[in-house]
Amino acid sequence: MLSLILIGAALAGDRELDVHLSVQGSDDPGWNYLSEDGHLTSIGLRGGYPLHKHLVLVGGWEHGAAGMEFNSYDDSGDDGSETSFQTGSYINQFQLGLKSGFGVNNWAKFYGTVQGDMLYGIVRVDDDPDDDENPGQVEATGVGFGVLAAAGFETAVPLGKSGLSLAFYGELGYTWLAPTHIGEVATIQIDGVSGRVGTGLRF
Amino acid sequence: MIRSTLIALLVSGCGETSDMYASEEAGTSADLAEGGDADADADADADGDTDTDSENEDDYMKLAPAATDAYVFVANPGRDTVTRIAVSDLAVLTTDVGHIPSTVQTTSDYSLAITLDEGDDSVTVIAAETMEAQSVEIRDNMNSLSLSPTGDFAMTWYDPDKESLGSSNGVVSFNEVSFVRLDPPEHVPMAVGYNPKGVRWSDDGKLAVVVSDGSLSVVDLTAAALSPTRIMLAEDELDAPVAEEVVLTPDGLYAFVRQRGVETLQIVDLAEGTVTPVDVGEDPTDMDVTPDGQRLAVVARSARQIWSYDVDDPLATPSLLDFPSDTAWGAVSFADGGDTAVLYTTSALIPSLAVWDTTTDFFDERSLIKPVKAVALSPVGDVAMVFHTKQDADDTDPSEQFYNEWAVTLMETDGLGENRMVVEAEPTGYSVTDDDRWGFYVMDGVSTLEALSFESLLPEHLKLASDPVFVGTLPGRTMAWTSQQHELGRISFYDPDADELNTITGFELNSDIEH
Amino acid sequence: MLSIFLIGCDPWNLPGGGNQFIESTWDPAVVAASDGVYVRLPHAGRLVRVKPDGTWSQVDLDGATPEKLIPTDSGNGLFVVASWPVCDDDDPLVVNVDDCPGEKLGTEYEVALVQDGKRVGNAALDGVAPQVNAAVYSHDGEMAALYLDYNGEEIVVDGLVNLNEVAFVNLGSGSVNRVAVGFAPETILFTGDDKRAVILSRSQVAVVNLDSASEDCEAWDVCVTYPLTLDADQAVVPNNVVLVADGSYALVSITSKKDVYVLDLVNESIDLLELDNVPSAMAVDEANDRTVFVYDSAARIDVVEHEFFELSSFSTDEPATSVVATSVGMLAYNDQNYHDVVTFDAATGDWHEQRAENPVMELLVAEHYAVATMRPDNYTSGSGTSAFYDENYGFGIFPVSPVTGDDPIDAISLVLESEPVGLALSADDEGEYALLLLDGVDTLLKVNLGNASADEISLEAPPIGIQNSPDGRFIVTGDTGVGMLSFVDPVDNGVVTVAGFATSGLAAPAVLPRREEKE
Repeated sequence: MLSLILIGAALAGDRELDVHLSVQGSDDPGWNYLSEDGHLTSIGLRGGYPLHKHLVLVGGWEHGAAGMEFNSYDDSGDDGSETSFQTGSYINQFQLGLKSGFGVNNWAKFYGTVQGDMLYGIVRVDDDPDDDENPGQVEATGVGFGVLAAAGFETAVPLGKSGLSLAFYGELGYTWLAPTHIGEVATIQIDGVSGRVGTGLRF
Repeated sequence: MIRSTLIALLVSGCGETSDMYASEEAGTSADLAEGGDADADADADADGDTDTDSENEDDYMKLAPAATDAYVFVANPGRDTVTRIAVSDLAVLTTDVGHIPSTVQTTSDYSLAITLDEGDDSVTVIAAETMEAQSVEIRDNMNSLSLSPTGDFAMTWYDPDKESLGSSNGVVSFNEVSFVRLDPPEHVPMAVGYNPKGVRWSDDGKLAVVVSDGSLSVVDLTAAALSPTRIMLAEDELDAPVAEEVVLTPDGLYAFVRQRGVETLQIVDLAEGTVTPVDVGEDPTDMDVTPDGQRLAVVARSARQIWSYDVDDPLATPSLLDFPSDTAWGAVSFADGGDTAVLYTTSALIPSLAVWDTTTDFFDERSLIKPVKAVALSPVGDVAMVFHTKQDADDTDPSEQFYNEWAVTLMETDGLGENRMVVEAEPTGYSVTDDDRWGFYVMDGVSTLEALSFESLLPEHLKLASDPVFVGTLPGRTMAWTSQQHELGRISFYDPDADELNTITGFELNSDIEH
Repeated sequence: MLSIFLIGCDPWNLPGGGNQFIESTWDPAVVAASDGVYVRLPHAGRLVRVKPDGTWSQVDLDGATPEKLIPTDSGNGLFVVASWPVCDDDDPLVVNVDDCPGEKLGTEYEVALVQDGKRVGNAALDGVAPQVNAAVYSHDGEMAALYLDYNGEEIVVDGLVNLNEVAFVNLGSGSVNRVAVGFAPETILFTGDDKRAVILSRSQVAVVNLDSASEDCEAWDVCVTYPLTLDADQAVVPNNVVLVADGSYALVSITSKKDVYVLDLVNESIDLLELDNVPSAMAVDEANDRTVFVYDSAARIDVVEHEFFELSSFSTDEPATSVVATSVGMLAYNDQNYHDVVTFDAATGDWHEQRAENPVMELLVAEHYAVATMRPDNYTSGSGTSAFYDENYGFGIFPVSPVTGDDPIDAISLVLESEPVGLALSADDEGEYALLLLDGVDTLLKVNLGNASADEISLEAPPIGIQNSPDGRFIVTGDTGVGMLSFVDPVDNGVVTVAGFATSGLAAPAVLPRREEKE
C-alpha cells in the first residue's frame, strides 16, 4: 500500500519529491538480536531543492521496523523453565545532504549523494503482548548520527505539458553510523551497504 | 591399638594405685598352682607342703598416669608429650618432652613430674604448675625409673625383664644406672652391680641403695660427687641367688635382703659395708617393715611363723610369732597407719587369711569364699578389700555360687562386717583413698568404676564411656580417677561424696594444639 | 510496512519476527541491600540496581560480568564475583569479543565490594580469590569473612586455586586480609566481641585473631589450631559450630560422627562429648545456657549444660531433623517422614508435641507461632479429610506455648492451592503474619497467624520467591523474562512493582573491556 510521489528528474536542477524502498545491510551484533536477518528494511520519503545547476539539497526520512520473540531458559530450575517476551524495534533515519549528477542525455543521469544521517530508534519490550497495560512493558529510545554516501542512476519521463516528470532511480552506497544507545536496552550500529530504489516527481 | 598399648605402658607415681597385671609383667608369677610342685626341683624343705612360687605383692605400679592432689599427668608416648589434667576444672595443658616418654611419675611434694624418655635416652623434668620442661640425657636404653621420697633424685636403669618402648640402639649395659639430680637437672651416671633390678631409698632421701642379685651399691646422695659403694652379697655376682626382696630401715642404716631359696636373711650394714646372715624361719617368703618403722617382719611360710627383727639392732635375737593355724600363708601386708596387718597367700589356692593385731599379736583367722589374688588394706587397716582368684580351692563344691567366678570381698578387719561379691570380670586395678573411706577397682573389659564404701561395705557402680585401663586416687583427697580406652585419650574423676563423675575425652588432642 | 500506520494506533502492537534463544535475562536470586535490590543479568553480563521508586541503573563493574552475588548481613552492599574476557591480541581492530581469535581469548576474575551502586574504591578487592561463594559477617557488620563453601558446583581453576584461605574484608574500607586456615573451610563464626573468628576446616579448627590491640597474638594470625584427629589419614569434617558460655567454648559437631568437640577457647584445650547417635542438628538455648541435640535416627533429645558439659537425655516419640530456638523453648521437628513438632524445655526436660499433618518443608519461628509449609505425604494411608490433606501441599500454624502441665494449643493446618515457593514472617502491633507465595499463583497470601485468615495481595506475575529487605519490606520476584520485583509493605499491604530491568543490555555487542589497562 504505497503512496507514490513522483520524483522529478532535475536535469537542470529540478525540485524532487520521491518515495523509495531502502535496504541496509548490517552485521551489528546488537541489531542482530532485534531483527530476524540483521538487515534494516525501510521505506522513505525524500525531497530535493536545486541550489545550482548540478547541485541539489536533499533531505529525507526513512522508517524501518523489526520484531523478535525472545526465549530464555532458567538454568537454576530442575527442568528449565521458558520465559519469553517480544521486542519491536523502530528505526527512523533523517537525512540531509547534497546530491550532484551529470546527465547522460535529457532523460537519464548518474548522480552521487552525501548526506548526514540522524537515526532515532525506539525499542519496545513486552512480556505479555495480550495485555496492553502490563508492567512488563519497556520502551527505550536513542539517537545516533552518521553519514551515508551513495551513487545512483535515475531516469525521468516527462508527463506531458504539466512540467512534471516521473522519475525512477536506483542507488547503492554505504551508511556509516555511530553506535546508538537505545536507552539501556540496546546498542546498535547499523553500518553497512545500503541500497534504494524509488520513484518520484521532478518539477 | 598401638597407641592404647603404648598408653598402657605408662608408669604411675604417687598416690595409692595398684595394677594386678604388674606382677605378671614383672616376671613374678601370678599363676596359682593347681596342686603339685611348681618348682622344677623336688620339695626342698621337709615341711611336706607343696612347693609353690614366690608370693605376689603388688608393690610397684607401672604403666599408669601419675597423680598429685590437683593434677593427673599422662604421658603420650606416640606424641612425645605429657598432658596435665586439672582435677578441679578438667583443664588440659600439654608440654613437649623427650622422645617416647614411657613413664611419668610425680615427686612427693607434687612440684615436679618426671618422664623417662626411652626414645632418646633422656629424663624430662616438668614443673607441675607451669609445665615448663627441661630434659637431661642419661645412659642408653634405660627402661625403668624410680624417684626418691624427697623428690631430689631419680634413678633409671635397664630391666631386661621389662619391655622397652623405644630403643636408641646404643650400648645396652647390664651394670649402668643413671642418677638424675632433679633441681636443677643433672645427670650422674655410674656403674653398679650386675643387672640392677631396682633402688631403695632411705626415708630421708639421703641414701640410695641400688639392688642387684649379687650386690648392693650404696650411694650417698648428700655427697657432692655421687659414687657407689659396692657391698657384695655373693661371691659370684653372675651366679648369685635372686634377691627377691630388699628392705631398707627408715634411717638408712641397714638393708635386709631376702634371697630366693636361701634360708637366712642377709643383714647389710650400709655404713660398714658388712653382710651378716642371720637365721630366719624356714622358707621365708615375704618381709615388710612395720609402719612405725621399728621392726622388720619376715613371714616364714613353711615354719608357719613370723620372725620379727628390731630395726635398730637387727642382729639381736628376733621374736617369733606362730601362725594361728597350720595354714601356709606366705605374705603379709601392713596398713599404712594403725596396728593391723593381714597374713595371706597368693601362691597357693588357700581361701583364708589372718588379721594380725600387731599390738597384741592376736590373729583373727578368716575363711574366705575363694583364694586370694590380692589384698588392699584401708590406710587405718580397719577394712580390707580382698580380690579373689577365679580358681577355687581344691575342695570347693562346684555348686557354690562363687565357684569359677571372679569375686571380691570387702571385710571389716576389726569387726564382723563383710560383703562378698561375685563380679563380672577380672579386677585389673584398685586403689583406696587416704581418708580411709573408699576403695575403688576396675575390671577387664567392663566399662564401670566400682566404688566400695568402707563405711557401709556397699559398692557403687559408675558407668564409664569406655573400658577402664588404670584406676587411682588423688593423694589427700577423696577422689578417684580412672583412665579409659579411647583413641584420643579419656580420663574420669569421681567424687564419691558428691557422687559426681566428670570425664574429659580427647585430651591427647591437646598435645597437637598449635599455638 | 504496516507499522507506519500502526504507530499511531497501538504502539504495543509489536511487529512479528523471528525467535531468539538466549541465556537467562536475569537471575531471580537477587540481593536486597539497604540502597536497593541488586540483580544479576546473565545474558547482558550486567549488574543492575533496582530501587523501589521504580528506577534502575547499571552498576559499573568496568566491563566485568557478575558471576556470583554474595549478600551482606547488614544489607550494606554486597560482594560481586565478576569475570571479563581478555584478548591476547593488541590489534586495535579487535574491539568485540567476537573479533578475538579463539585461541587468544581468556578470562580473568575479580571480587568487588559494591555499595551504593558502585564498587568501593572503584576497584576490585585485592587478593580475594574469585572462587569464594560464601560469607560470614561479624556481629557489628563491619567485617566479612569470605571463603569457598564447596557444594559440588563447578569451580573455574585458573592456574591454581587455594582452598585453604579465608579472606577477611573490612566493609568500611575494603581492606583485605587473607589467612590460611586449613583445607576446605566449612563454617566460620565470629565470637561475640568480634575479636576472633573460629574457622572449621577439615580435621581442624582454627582461631584467628582479628584484634590489632591483642598482645597475645598478632592480628590476622591463626592464634590456635585445634586438631580434630591425630591421624592425618583420617578426615574429620566438621559441619556445625556454636559458641556457648559467652564465647568461651565452641561446640563442634562432625559429619557422620557421634563426637561433639568441646573447644575451650580460653584455656585452649579440647574435650570430646560422645553422643549415642550422630546428631542431625544442634542449637543453643541461650535462656537456659544449654545446647540441645536432636537425632534423625533416634527419638531422643540430648541437652548439654555449659559448665561441666554433662549430658542429659530425654526420650520423645519421634526423631527430629532440626531444632530451633523460640521465645518459650526449643522447637524440634522433622522434615523427613515424621510429623511431630515438639516444644522442649531444656532446663526441665519437659516437652509437649503438636502434629504436622504432612512432612515439613520449611519452618519459621515468630514470636508466638511457628509456621511450616508442608509437602504432600507419600505415605498416606488415611481416608477422607486426612487423605485429602495428604495429597496436597499444606501450611501449618503452630502456636508456641511454654511447656507446662497443660496441653499445648492445637496446631492449625491449611491446604494450599499449589506448591509454596516463598515464606516469610512479619508482625505489627495487631498481630503476626506469614507471607506465603504459591507456584503459579500471582497473589501474595498474608496469613494472620492468630486466626488463620488470609488477605490476598495481588501481584503482577506469578512469584518465584520472597525475601526480606533491610528496610522492612519484602521483595517478591516475579516470573517474567523482563525482570520483575514487587516491593511489599507488610503494614499497609501496599505493593510497588518494578519491571523491565532485565532488558538492560538486551541487545548490545559484547565488547572487550579494559583494553586500555592492557595497553
